[in-house]
Amino acid sequence: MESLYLLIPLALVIFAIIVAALFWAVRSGQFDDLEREGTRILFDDDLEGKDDQ
Amino acid sequence: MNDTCFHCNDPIPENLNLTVEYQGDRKPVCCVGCQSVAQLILNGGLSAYYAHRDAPAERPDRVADDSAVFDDAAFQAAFCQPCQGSLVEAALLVDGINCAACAWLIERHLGAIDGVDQVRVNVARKRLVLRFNVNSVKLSRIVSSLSDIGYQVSPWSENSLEALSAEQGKRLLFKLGLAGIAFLQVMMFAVALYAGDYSGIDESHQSLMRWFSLAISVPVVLYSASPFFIGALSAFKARSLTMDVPIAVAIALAWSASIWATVTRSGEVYYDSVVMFTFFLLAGRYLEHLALHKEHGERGRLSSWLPDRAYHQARGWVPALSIVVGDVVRVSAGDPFPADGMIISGQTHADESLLTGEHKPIAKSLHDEVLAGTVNVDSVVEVRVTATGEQCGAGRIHQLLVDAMDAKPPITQLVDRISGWFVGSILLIASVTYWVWYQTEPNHALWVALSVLVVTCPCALSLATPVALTSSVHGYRDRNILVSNTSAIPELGGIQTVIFDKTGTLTLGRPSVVRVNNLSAFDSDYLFRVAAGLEAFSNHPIAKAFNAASPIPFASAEVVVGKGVEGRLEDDHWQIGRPLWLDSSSNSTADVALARNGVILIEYFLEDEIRQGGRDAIEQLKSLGVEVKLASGDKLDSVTTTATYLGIEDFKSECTPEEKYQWLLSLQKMGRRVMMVGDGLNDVPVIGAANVSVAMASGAGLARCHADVIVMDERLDAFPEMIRFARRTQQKIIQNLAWALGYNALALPLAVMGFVPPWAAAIGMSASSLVVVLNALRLSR
Repeated sequence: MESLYLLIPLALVIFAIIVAALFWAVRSGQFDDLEREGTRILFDDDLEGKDDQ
Repeated sequence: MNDTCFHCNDPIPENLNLTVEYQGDRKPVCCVGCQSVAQLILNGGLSAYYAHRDAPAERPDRVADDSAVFDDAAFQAAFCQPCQGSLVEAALLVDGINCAACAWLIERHLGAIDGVDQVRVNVARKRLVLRFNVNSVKLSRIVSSLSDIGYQVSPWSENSLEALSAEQGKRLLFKLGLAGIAFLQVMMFAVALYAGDYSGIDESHQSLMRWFSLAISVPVVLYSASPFFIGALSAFKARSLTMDVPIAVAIALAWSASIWATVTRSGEVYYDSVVMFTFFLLAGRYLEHLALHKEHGERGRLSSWLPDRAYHQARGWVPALSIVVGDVVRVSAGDPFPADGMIISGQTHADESLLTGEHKPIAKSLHDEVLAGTVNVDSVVEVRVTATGEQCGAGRIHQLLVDAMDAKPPITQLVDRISGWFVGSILLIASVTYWVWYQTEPNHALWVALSVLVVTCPCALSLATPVALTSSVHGYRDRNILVSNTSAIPELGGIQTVIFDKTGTLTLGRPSVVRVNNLSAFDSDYLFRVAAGLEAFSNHPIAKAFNAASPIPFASAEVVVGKGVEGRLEDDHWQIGRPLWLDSSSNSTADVALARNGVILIEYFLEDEIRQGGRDAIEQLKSLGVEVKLASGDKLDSVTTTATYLGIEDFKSECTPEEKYQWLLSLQKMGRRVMMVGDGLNDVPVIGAANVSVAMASGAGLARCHADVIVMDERLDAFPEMIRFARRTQQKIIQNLAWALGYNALALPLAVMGFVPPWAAAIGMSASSLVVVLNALRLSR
């Protein structure tokens, strides 16, 4: 069980990294337009289908 | 054969046979504009737009190509920023963006232009940010290619309210995300600790996990939960009890008790409950914010009702904001006046329907006054500016409206009324519980009191109304009704009287041909096509009545100011206009006539046509128990005709805005809840004072901007529909309130008796909120 003394602080570090990543994502506008990004993949698929013809 | 336009879903006029080819089929379109836009999109390999869009496009109106302004450096300064090298970033507001497919279409279409470096479209804000190379492409070229696919742009001006709410949204999202991530992490330790309680745990391990739970909960309590503490603090200052008070008390108590337990290595810790509680509450707040933010955006856009640019005599195109009193501006035919002023050269007609609702243009000659926002109809004039911005006539009406809105009684919601004493009783019950338990079992007293606070948290109660309203707004949107003020929905359900304006509301607001008198041997149909060919050269509102499928093309034609249009076709001289102009001896009563070589061939009688489905809609309103009235600035006979046709018994004609306002007030004094439907700027004060105000999408900008509800597709049967839907929403709200109160009534005794541990209380609280939210969401489908 001694490993806990290493693993739990490590979890805290990872927690900090994830929070920093979230902070960056919110600041840089990754969540500004949720409507648009959800459908982006549909369109690009179609366009490639068209190029193949 | 479907009879709506492939591109814009408008109904297709009779005898029109325009089509585009899509996936091997010929699809009908409603006008040449739609045809060319659709053709361009399909030929450009962008047909996926039609496959994936979930809202029809807007009908592209023929507009004068004024994209040249966009190249003017002074004009660009307001919305463009240089970035590295010769790249410039421009922010534009794009009219007509309805769904993600529009964004894709614009990005693809502009991306294909040489020199365009980057295109980003935000659907929700209708905002286009584009980075382009000034050396290889002109902004005007980009703007006009957008206009080719049916989108009109104007410079983006940040609406301060919207910017503020976007900033708040980002902060709230970060708080929510932080609480969510911390929630997962603390839960891991919590499971270990709970398991340890049953199967035994080494005390050093228990302490370790408690300390790390504490570390993770610090940012959550101090940062994520700060809105609740701030809210509670300001409630204390205002000596009132809001929902934030028990929340803040619960979080603060549970957290400090946990810290005490951690430091002294005794008792219980509640980090998991604290973080979970904060997370669920913030999730509710965030959803509420999303709905509000959308509303701010819509309002900001609708308020742009004055032109954003003006042609200064000396300086060329300038932003309209930079114009001052005494400047001389040139206004071309078809453009709105950017400010109030006096004509110093030229003569023209002005369409003042924005202010007066009267669609017949008014003659303006030297030294006559013109008003900001009204439209210069037929020729170029120079105007000396006498008032700008808030000082101009339209601005004063705006002020009137603001005053009227202030006088409007605030809509108090049931929850607001009861939440005060509700919160008070929660705090009281929790303290009493603590005291009673402390007498008998002191080491259980704290967590029982906490459970009481958490389990009775009036979240479900506070969510019940706003969530139902938000969801109802989405339901309205699917019906093409835009609700810009959610508090109008509960009012809508209780509406007892509807007052309609006539022009532009019950009627189309533009003249159309109702009767012809053919004096010649020519086919009427052929003559109508000739008339349409001539009128194509005119901007006059009357010209819109002559919209034939295939007009006879004139190589050239001349607009004679205030009279009509004349042109040559082979060897014949054709004229269309007032009968007296065509033939000075004429005693015709027709509004417009067509003549060949000075001989009148056909007479046209024009009238403002009543919208389709009017009679049925009025009938439905009456069957809902709603009184229908009509107030118009028009003449008695024309109002009588309309009212009789529609079956409206109570009507007033030749009303001034003041009279309409008084009528409304007298009805309200009789205790009736009144809905006002209007579209002209003259209706604006009335719109401000009505319990609910509705405008048509094509109405004056200011009327739309302040109406609670806007009918986007201008159907008259939207009125009974919106009242029915509002009543359904009200039912939903009552269901939700009943559920939330019922849950609290049941959970409270259990918690007081100590059957509910804090974590179960937090789950119960969230589950109850979830039920309320899900029930409300059923409204939006």
